[in-house]
Amino acid sequence: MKRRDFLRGLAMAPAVPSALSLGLLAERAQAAGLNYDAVDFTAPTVLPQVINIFLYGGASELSGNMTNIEDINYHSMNPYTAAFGSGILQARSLDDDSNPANGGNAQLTPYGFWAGAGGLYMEDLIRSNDMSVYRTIHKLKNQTRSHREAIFINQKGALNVDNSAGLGTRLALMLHTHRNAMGSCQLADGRTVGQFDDGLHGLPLPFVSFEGQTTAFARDPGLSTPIPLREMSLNDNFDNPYTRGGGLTGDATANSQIDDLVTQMQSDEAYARRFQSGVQGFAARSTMAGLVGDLSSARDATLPAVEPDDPDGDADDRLSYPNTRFARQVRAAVTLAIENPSSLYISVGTPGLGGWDDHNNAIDRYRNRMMQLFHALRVAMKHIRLSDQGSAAGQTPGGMVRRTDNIIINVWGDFGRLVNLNNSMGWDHANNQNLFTLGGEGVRPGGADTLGKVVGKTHRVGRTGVNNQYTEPTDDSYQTEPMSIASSIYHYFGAQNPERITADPDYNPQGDVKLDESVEGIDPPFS
Amino acid sequence: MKRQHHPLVLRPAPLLFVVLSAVGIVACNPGTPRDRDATTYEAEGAASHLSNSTFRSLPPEQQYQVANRLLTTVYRGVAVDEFFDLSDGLYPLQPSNRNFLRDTRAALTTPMSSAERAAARARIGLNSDDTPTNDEDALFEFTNSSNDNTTPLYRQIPLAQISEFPLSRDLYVEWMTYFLANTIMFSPALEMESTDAKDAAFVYNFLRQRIKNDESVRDIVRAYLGTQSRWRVSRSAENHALEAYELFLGLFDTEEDSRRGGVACQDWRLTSESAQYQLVRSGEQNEEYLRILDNYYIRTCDDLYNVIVSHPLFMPRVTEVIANYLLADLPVEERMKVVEGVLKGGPTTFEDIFTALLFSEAYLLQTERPLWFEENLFGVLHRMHWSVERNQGQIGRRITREIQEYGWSDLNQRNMGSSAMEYKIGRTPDVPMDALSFASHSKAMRERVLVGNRQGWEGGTWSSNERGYRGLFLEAVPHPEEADVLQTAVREDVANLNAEDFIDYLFLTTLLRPATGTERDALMDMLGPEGRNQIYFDQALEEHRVRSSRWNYSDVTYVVMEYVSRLPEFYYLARPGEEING
Repeated sequence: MKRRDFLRGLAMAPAVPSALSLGLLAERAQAAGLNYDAVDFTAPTVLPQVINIFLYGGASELSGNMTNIEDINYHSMNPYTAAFGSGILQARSLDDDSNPANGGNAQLTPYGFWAGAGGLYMEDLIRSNDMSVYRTIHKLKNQTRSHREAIFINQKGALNVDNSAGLGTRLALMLHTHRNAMGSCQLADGRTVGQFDDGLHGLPLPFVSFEGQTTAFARDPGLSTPIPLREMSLNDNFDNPYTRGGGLTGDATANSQIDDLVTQMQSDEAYARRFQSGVQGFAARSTMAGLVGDLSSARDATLPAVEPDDPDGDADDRLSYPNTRFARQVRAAVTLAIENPSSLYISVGTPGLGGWDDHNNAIDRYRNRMMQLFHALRVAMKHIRLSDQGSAAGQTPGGMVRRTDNIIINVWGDFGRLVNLNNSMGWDHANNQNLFTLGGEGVRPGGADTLGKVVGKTHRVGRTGVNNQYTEPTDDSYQTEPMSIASSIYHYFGAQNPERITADPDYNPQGDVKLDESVEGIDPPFS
Repeated sequence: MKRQHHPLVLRPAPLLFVVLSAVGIVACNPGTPRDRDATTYEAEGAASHLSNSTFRSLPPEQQYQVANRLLTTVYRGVAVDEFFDLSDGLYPLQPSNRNFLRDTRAALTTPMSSAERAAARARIGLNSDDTPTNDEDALFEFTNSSNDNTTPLYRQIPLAQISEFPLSRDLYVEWMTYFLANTIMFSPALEMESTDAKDAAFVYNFLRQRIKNDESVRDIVRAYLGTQSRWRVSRSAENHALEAYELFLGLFDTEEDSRRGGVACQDWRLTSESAQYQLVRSGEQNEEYLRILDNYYIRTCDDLYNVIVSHPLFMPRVTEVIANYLLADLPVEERMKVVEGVLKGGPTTFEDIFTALLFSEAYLLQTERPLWFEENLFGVLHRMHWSVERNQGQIGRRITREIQEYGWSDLNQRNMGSSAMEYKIGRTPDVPMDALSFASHSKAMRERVLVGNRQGWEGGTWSSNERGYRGLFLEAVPHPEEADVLQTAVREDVANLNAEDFIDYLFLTTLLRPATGTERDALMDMLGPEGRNQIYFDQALEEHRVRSSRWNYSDVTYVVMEYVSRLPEFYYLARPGEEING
């Protein structure tokens, strides 16, 4: 039963609904647990590390797809040329060094990115073989334009939005179910999972959220996630509220007596069940207390050296992130991934829905934000690639020797947006969006060939001068549902039939297969 | 205040009957003025209130838990010695007032007089226009930011007033306002680029005044939907309609309805950032009637608003949103039964809904959920006889600045995932319990309130003006050699307690229950002659006693507070009467 149906029943029935109908709701909620034993699992040789950057609010696809701009501009209620400048219809060559922030300058990069909205960084990332762009992540099976449901669909990789676990939780449960097959899986530093005392359950910080409580780690209604595989949350400053100071901490005897008494209380099953989140919170505190200190040292370490002409180098020819909120978030996540090879799934996003929900004033805000994000991502890919240029050659700043071709960054959001520029100079919600996927050539099936391309073709749909204009894939284009992104992540980690994990009997019986990363990219349309 | 009537906008005529019948069925015609006093509203069924007689029949300890559960929810608390008569010791527990529940309910419906309110606000440090007086004698130090776009003032005022007002309708209105401004329905969404502190000021004052004036939920939302602050969150005509359906009707699949709502609102728009995000209107009103939500026809944005607040889903949705916070851990089936019960009574005001939920048996006896930081912080502070005046530092005059303004403060709620008025979707109904949020909450409580607050429980700084000073275990008494000079001494009622009872007293203050046998034994060992030597066995009295000086009492408290701070249970609204590790 969908929430809407339930509420309709509550309002329209002659009396308020019976206990029977409410009971059905609860029963349904309990029936959602997945059978992870049914996943055909082949342990990967090297464990991937996935950083998912979720653009809450649903970013417009236009920064990464301006291929239909002429048509869009012609039919929009408010012309783009008036809002953004005449350059928005002009092709821009790679050697054009005019300021992309000036809308009068040419904006269409060879691949059809929006130069003034991060497009030049995207172009660089494609040409350095660090990124691929999928322009046709098309939400067709459920066409809701509600944030709530769209966030759930994307962050859970499921259409049964109310009764499904988050993507990160599903990944954790899949690995937990098949943990006995993972003993010889290597982390990026060469250690195997089997070398840890409790195997998979002994890995430090395997699941991390940089966005506090998140749908990506929503609990499975029918299955409990083992505590070692539950997400830990950090902020981008690696703040450390986990340590204890003062009080009796300076008196070792008293301190341990108090802890022993607490442990004794918590050992009571009923107590632990009643106050479960708190018990787990304290367990997490204890785990995190030392780890976070190490991470903040790594955060403060000097970044790798770069070539003197590198545009991302500082005056000392060290790699330098821009001083932006996005850069801080990306840097923190990348630092964690580099310094802790057992952080397998890292969730990053702006809390709330304010971030990319550009219903208005898209003219400057959206372009600047995209510029900041992709600038940060270009630096991040260099940070990952050059991370062994730490204080000692061949080592990360934290002293680790490791490969980094297992680190994948995915960037996507709730949904895409309409392409009509509305009267508040923004875009309302629509269902086609981009996926930007970066790095990880060492763990993607197909390897480096899967990177450095732009996949998918679109065309504009909708009547002239009305708000409901959007893009959708052309008939000859590759397209896929957003659940395929989750499916691909499960596949990187070993699921051979990942569609099983995105399936549910009521809303999506067949599930969704992984992205087809072998699809050929398009030729640059504006070269 | 005169109620506004909002006739449904319905065309063509045949549909009129469909909609009116639907509205009539649930008896919530928005245009019907309430024909009874607000205090006569009673919820039914699963939301039935906990009667005073049932309350009185509960064991004393459970009465105390219920009383504090109620007060903790509104960021207050009643101390052990205020709830129980300790003149003959702690046991047997004897409530001083058997009608606490009834009296509290009555207090929350009783407004302060104008003079009382003005005096209280002056004491707090607020001018009549809500600017800080900045008097040295003011109880609270508010932000010194005078920038209307960024000031956190309107997040600080409600907490200060809730903390200092006597239990009264004024306090209750403040709390309801603050609560609602943190929900998805009314959050000013300060995290967004298009909003600023003026929106927090607006939402706070808008709600406060209208709730105080006993306006109906429908009137309040009807008025709110068309405000600039609401538009600054929704921002475009189509999204304005979409969010109205989601926020106030709980409808999430409204693609076509949103588009049509957008057309109806097409003459409204928000200006750009450079024009300060102002809500402006063109003269180009839509002229065509559009069908939405199956049964309604609208032409203008006003029509849309009227449909929203007269829709049969409106009151269920508003009630559900509030219940989702208060009854967060109740299984959805039970929670919805409570919502049904609230609706059966026909609530019209927010006060009806809040009072029904807060005083329901379901809330007072059954719910068990993690505490919001404000609940835990102010609940325990008030139970400890906290006074903002006597404390310095983070839990002194600056306390609301620490919570709402200083990013570096342990008390700041940002890392707890519960900043006030911040999020576009409001606070999540469930208290964030991820590792960072919980660790931040725990650190704040432990290091600033429990173990780090020794000066607080020892009386802080107090002056001769406070001749009646009474703290957690100390009180002001005349100096033996100089009657006009006051000094602190262990409170007489506390000094009468044996060591075990003093430990129980501290447990009741913090955890709302006495220590278990295991806890008492372990703590007595730690504090006894083999340990910290604060407790001894008095041969004459044949019982364990805390050594007599305030320092001994302070150390016992210190150890107990350290233990309590590490217990998961301390961060919960624990179900009354349910035994701990029995």
